[in-house]
Amino acid sequence: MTSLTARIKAAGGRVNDAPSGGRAPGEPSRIGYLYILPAVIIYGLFVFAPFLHSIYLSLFDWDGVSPMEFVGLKNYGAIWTNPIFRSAFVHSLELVFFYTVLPLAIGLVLVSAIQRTRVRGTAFFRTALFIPYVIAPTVIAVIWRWILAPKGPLNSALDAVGLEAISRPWLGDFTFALPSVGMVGTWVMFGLVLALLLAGVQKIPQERYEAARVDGAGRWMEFRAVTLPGLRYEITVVLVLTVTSALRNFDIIYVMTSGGPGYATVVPSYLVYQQAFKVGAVGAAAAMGAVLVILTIVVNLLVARGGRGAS
Amino acid sequence: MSDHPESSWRNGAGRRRRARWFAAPAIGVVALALAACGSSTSSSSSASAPATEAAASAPASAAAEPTTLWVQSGNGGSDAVLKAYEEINAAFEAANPGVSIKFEVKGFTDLVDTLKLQLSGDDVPDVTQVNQGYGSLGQLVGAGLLTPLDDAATAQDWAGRQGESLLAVNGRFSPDGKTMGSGDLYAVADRGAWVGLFMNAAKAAELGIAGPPTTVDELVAQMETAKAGGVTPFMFGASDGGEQIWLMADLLMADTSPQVLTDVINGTSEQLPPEMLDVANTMQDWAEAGYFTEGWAALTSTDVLGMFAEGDGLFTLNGSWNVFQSDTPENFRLVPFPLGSASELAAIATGDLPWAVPSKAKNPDLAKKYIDFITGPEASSIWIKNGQVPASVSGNEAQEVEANGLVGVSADAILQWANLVTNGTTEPFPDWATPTWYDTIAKSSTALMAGEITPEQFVEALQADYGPFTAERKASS
Repeated sequence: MTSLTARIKAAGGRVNDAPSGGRAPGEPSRIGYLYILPAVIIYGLFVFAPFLHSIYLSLFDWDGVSPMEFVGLKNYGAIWTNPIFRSAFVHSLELVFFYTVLPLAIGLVLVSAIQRTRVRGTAFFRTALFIPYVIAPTVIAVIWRWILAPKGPLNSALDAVGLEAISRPWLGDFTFALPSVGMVGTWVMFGLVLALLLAGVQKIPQERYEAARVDGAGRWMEFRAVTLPGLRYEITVVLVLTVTSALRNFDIIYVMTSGGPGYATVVPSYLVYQQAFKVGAVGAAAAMGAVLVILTIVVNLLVARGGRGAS
Repeated sequence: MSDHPESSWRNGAGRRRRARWFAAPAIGVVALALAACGSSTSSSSSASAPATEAAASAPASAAAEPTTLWVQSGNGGSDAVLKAYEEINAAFEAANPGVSIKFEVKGFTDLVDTLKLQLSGDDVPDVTQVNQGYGSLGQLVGAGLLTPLDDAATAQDWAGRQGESLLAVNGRFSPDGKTMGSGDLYAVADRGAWVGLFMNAAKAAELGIAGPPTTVDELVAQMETAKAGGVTPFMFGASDGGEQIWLMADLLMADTSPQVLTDVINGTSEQLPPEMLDVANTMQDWAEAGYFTEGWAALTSTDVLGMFAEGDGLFTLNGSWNVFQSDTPENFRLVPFPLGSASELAAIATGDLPWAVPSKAKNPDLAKKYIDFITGPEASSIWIKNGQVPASVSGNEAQEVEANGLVGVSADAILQWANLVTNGTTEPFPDWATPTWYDTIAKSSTALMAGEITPEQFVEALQADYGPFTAERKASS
């Protein structure tokens, strides 16, 4: 390489000398760090530093104004010993089913059905399905609160067709409140999932399906051998987005149930807010927030790893 | 705790919510106008036409010093209240040449959730509304963020206006913020807020019910009559928590005496009274007997009050701050919840968010003067004119109510308040007892009334919250 450079120079040509020497052309230069510096500073200042600060706060007993009292890991212990705190995390995992598993399952079934047929107006359906994801969660919560109200449209419709046995005050029912909130999540996430999967399935070469058919693959085999592997990246994105939404859910719960009835729909984010601003237990809130963030990061790392491992 | 039962309407959905969006831009415009004027003498709030005149004439008198008084309210969303403040502020500015008021409005939750942080800083309002209870006012006092108002209270005889017990309930705290109801005076309310039984008198007449019940037994009998007549006996909504807390407190008073409730809230003993179990049983019985609105666990107290105002149901339990407009106002009554004996008069009755002066306020003396003004006789007339309940009792309530043509619940709210403050016992909101009690009672009682837990488990859940907090508070004070 050096000899090449020398020869070009000898011939009167110009060569960009690598500033750090010995670096191959196209290899990242240190100047690259300068380019990401603004982003790093902003991220560090507004995301990373507050996160570290809240971990620091989580080691104290503090009401927000009085002197802080160091208590070590007591606040973390409370998350496991307090049945309400513990149930909040269990509810979060139940919500993952409604936010992630259900929309993904429905999405995959529809996509594998659609890919065999040409649907007219795909762009329209994609936009329509995507709308719930774009609406502000608070608005969604208000709308669904109304739909699920004791005398709301859902119960009226059920009563009208003779299903009085099923109609109930959905959000006031200890058994059905969490699934009701969860179904709202399914409704929101389903559009996003389907839009992503539709885009993904269109880029799978048609030849693969033809090859599979020539090999005598049935519908199920075709789905397993062609569609599913072809959607690997889209599924990874879907998992990251929906699992994160499920775990951090605050606005929909806050507006629809405020954790009620009883403690039936209490989730960690709601408790963080309630402990910090209502109860004045800043340390406990910070501990819960930290656990939630770490849980989210771990789950996402596992998902990302699974996505890479499959490739 | 900080979740005052009133928050249910202050941040609740529905009509009031929309009203708040409407009010917010208006306030913003005022704030912008003020910002544009800076702190010059010419700045003036939107409703201060008389003040502008006063400011214009001020240089002539030369005695008046141009000052801007920064006032912070948490009554956002309640346009009737804000309209009254506009009038009162104009009157204050007229009475104090050179003073202009910068009136900043926040929603209840905005105010309560950010107050600690705001008052810890250097840029603080001269006078602000605060929330009562250990979790709010107690913490602010304990951290030294508020100035005692006792000198002004003594000089202007505030106790003579609204009674010492009401002053104590709304604003007295020990300096460490650990004991509520005694010590220095840190806050005082300008409007009364009490919880009572709303009754549809027209429907009662149809059912052959004579008048408001005077005992719980009578109430139960009337509810049975309503049920038999196909009318929902008790419009009840539990999802915001307030209504079951009031019901619990009222039933406890009826079962024992107002003093027992006072002791519970003040934390006299670390042990809840044994009668709590009777109360829990009654609450569960009533739910099982089908007295409550269908789907009560999914409805808020505001939802059911709206339904009640439209003619549903015979009774509901709610606050005087929620008196509603109706085409037939004379059909509705608001009375204190019936206690055991007919002669006993008591109710949850405190002030709306009381007013306090932050320690770092730049104009503390003028701030005290402002508080004195908004709780004084001139302001009382403006409150009544706007259908609000003035905390201070003048004795002229009946005439003013009549002069302003108030009838039904609007009139009852003011007249019964005056009666309660003068002749009865005013009780604090029960959830002030511990910072977490509101949530604990709200959630546990829903489970109790839905039959998810037993009355014993309910009392245990309350005791588990109440006992340790009370013990710790006593140990550290």
